[in-house]
Amino acid sequence: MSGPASFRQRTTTAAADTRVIQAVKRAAWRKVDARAQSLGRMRHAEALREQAAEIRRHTLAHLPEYLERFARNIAARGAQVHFASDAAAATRIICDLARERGLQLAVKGKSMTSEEVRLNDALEAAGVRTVETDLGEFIVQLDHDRPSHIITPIIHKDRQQVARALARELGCEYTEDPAEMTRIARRHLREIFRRCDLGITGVNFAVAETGTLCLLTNEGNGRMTTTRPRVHVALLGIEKVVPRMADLAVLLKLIARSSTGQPLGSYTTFVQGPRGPHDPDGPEELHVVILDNGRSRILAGPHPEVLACIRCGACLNACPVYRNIGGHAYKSVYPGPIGSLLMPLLEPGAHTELSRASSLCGACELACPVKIPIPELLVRLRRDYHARQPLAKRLGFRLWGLAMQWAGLYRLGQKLLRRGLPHDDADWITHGPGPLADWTQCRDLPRPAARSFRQQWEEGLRDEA
Amino acid sequence: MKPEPQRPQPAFPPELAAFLQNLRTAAAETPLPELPPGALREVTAADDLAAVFAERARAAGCQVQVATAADWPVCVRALLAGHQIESLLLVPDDTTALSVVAADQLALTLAAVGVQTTRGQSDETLFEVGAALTGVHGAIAETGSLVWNASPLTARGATLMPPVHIALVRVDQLVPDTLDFFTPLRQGACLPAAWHIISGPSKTADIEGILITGVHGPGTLHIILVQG
Repeated sequence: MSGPASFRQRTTTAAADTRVIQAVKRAAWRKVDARAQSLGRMRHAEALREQAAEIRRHTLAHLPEYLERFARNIAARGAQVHFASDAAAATRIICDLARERGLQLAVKGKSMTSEEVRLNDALEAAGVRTVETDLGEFIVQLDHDRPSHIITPIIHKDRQQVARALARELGCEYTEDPAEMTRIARRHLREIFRRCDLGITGVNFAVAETGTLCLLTNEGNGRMTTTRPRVHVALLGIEKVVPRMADLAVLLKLIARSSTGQPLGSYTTFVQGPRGPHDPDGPEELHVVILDNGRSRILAGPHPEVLACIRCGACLNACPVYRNIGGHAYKSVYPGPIGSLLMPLLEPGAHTELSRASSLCGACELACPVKIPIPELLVRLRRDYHARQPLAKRLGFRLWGLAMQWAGLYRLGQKLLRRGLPHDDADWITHGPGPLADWTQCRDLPRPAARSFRQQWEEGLRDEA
Repeated sequence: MKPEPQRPQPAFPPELAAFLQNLRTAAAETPLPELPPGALREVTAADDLAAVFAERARAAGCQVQVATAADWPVCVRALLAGHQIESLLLVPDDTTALSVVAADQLALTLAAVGVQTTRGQSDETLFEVGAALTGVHGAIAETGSLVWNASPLTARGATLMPPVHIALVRVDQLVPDTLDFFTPLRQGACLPAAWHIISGPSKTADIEGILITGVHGPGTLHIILVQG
């Protein structure tokens, strides 16, 4: 298990924090409803999901050609294309760009990929002041916190916590009015946008045929970041490519509706080159850093479907586990069902316990706009998790597997367990020995009955029926 | 638009070429869906596009009104008075509903009522001006969206930085569905370096899910739908 506290300990602590869990539940349910209403109003929601799933599967099956086409097309428009094999390479490329040009103040659009490579830490270490400009990410940064949802970073905070962070870090008057807090942030960030010289964004989609970057925001942080600074750097995960604009349209029809219930977010920004020589504004340089960081290994491995994800966040909102423990308990950049899949694959050997962070209820798969079979993939990942368990536990499951195959063995097991296990007066096993302790720690096990259902059936239940 | 001078072609990064050469995919072969997926349209040309557009734009948080080619300047004057705006950025572009001639005429009428107008899209103007009046380069009925292309005449920030944005949309600019807008954009389409689809004012729900407008972009977006 990773970290000082095991996943089970973290979930126990997280689930007990009622203030956070209330906030997460309220926000998640609101989004579940918004998504259902928005898709419910569509004529072709299910056909679109099927089409979107096919587009993503096709793209992954042909990713090398589409990625190359995208890179060549955007380079032809004057963008400089870089390749980063891992997080360290990505941060080095971006820090070098800043150093060579003497850039000192970076503004960031909201980007989980930059969170993945820990770009802020690297830039700050290189002497580049880095300011998050998405309101939620800005608060996270002020509060030295981490985002707990891929779309709504401060889903775990209430307005009082936001108010305290703003008053403490910006020295403004304390207010709990969300409109006033937003105005305070706008004024502060406007001054940053006036002086910034480096803009960093992630990328939602990259269109191969036209060489276009597509970026979605509601606040306009993506637009400001691709408009104001002298240099724009876009960090692009290799899986974000789509073949044609028409394919992008299918995904755009679903992503915001799945995420927040909007037909489209306020700003869908398209960038495919630096400003023209006569353009009044826009960055003089456009750099695209294409990031692998474990994705090519996933693509060639047994679970490439995971890379179809378009990061809408619908599976987080739909997940009963996420809603009851919040994002931080996952202790991973990407939380929720998709994070439980992505993290162990991105970082082999780490986060293996996350495959158990699911009741396998299937709500995530139903919510997914590109129909990733998340529960099935989680079950497959549980095999890897299982292989790392102590011998006694593995043997226990092996025996269970055998018993399920051989009825005689099953009946024998039942008898042995009835005799051998400590139980209370009401026939519950509350403190199982050995590997069973793991199970009985969180739920009681009924003691096997003196006469099994089969026996009772044969001895007369059948006649009564 | 003048043709842009040829840029020096940056070399294709060798690390990327090597990576692509070694990139293997285990994803199962799936054919690319047929183009265009017309059967998936939410809105078609048979619908009342102006009505659908107005309804969806309002749902996205815009204020929408309908005017004629003759009386839209009256609407603009009323909006400016309503917001007590004293300085207006005019961004004329003859490919939009706000032509240079129309902007000239409007500037004269506005000067008479004490509203200063400016055309320069310098940083100072974009940071300080009270409102911007622009046309648009397209509009989508399905989502109530506007299309804004960056060009030598039209700054990226013109529809972003002023607190109030007034957009003139000609009814004949409306396409029914998002698919209708994107499907013709194939290889070789003349696309600007930056362009935007705008669906409502700048907004956030980051604090307790409460909707607030005007985070970085305009808090108010007025659309005047110009008929005829």
